[in-house]
Amino acid sequence: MARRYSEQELLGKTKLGLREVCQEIGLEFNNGMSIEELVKAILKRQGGAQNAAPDKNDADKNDDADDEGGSVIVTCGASSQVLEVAGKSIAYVRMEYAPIFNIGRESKAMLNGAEEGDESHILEDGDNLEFVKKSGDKA
Amino acid sequence: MSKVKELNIVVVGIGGVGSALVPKLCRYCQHIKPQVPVNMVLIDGDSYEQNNTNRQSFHRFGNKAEVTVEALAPLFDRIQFSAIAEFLKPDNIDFIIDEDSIVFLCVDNNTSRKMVDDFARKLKNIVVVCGGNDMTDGNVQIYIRRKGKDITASLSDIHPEIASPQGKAPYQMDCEELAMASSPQLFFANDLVSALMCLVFYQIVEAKDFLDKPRFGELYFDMLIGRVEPVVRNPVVKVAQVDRKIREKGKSKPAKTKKGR
Repeated sequence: MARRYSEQELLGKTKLGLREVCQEIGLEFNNGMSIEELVKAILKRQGGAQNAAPDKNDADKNDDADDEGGSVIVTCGASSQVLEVAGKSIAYVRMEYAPIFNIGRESKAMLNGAEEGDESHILEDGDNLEFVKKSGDKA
Repeated sequence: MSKVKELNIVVVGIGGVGSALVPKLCRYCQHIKPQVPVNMVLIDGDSYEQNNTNRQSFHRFGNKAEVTVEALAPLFDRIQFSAIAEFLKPDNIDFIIDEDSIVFLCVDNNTSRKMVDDFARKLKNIVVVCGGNDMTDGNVQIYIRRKGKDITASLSDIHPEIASPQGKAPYQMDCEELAMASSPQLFFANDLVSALMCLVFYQIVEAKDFLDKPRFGELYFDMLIGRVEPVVRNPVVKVAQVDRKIREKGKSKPAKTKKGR
C-alpha cells in the first residue's frame, strides 16, 4: 500500500519530488499545476487527509527513508538539478528523469567524474552523476 | 594583463562557428597587452557560396580560409595570418598543428575531431578547444596537455561518438557528399559556441593557473532553457595504467622483504 504524506511533507518537496509521489500513488502528474495545486491533488487522492499525522508504521518508514535519503547532483548537457535520489540506482535515475533531462539512450554515465559502467550502482548522498550528452554535430 | 609570451592559434574549419570566432579572436589579439607575437593559421578546404549568407559574413565567393584572411589581415596588422585552402587530413596535420598551439576545432564531423584528438595526444604541450552545436544547444570541450601529461580528459575519453566516429571527414568526401553534408543551423547557436570558445581563450591567456588547474573541461549550453553548464573533466586514468601501477607496487614489495632478510 502506498505511503501517506502529510501536507507539510508535500509542501517541502520540489515538483520533481511531487512527480515521484504522483507516480507512487497512481496520480497523473500535470507539470502545468503549481506545487500547491499538486499538493491538494495528492492529498485528495490520499483521502482528504490534509493534516494527517503519520501513524507509527509510517513514522518508522519515514525514519527508514531518512536513513536512505540524500541529494545527488544530476547533470545532462546544460541541465543540472539536485535530486533526492540517494539510495536509488543509476538505472532508476536514467529511466525516471530521461524526459526531463533529455537523457539519450547512449549517454554514458559518469559518477563523480569517472565512468560508471554498472548502472545498478546505488547512489549515495553527495554524489555527482552525469549522463554525458553527445557533442554538437555541426559547426 | 596577458600571461603568454607568444600565441600560436590554429582555427580548423571556417564555417558557421569558425567564421564567427575568428574576428573575435583577432580583435582581442590585436589589443592584447603586453604585445606578444600572434600567429594565426586558418584552414578549410570549403568555399563561401550563396547559401552560406544566412550564417556567415564574407566579401566575395572563394575559399573560406583565404577569403577570411584577405578580409581580416588589413584590419589586424599585429597578427601574422596564414590561410590553408585544404581540409585537415592525416598527411598535413603534422605541419599545421605543432607544439604549444591553441587549436580551435570548429568542424562538423567526429572523424576530424578524432584525428586532432589522436594527434594532440602525441604532443607535449597543446590546447584543443572543440566546439559544436545542434539547432539550439551545443558544447565546447577543452583538452589540455602540459609537459606530456593530460590535464583534462581528451575529447574521445569523454565522448564515445568521437572515440568511434561514424561517417566521413570532409577530405574523404566527394563534391556531392560535401553538398549533402550541409544541414540547417541557427546562426545564434554558432555564435554562442564561438563566444564560449572565446571565454576559454580568455582564461588561457589571462588566468594564471587555468592551464594547470582548469575549473572546467567542458561547457554545455541550451538556448531553450537559458543555461550554460560547466563540467569538470579530470584526466581519465586508464585501467591498464592502474594495473601496471598495482603490478609495479606488487613487485617492489617482495624485493623489500628480501632485503630485510
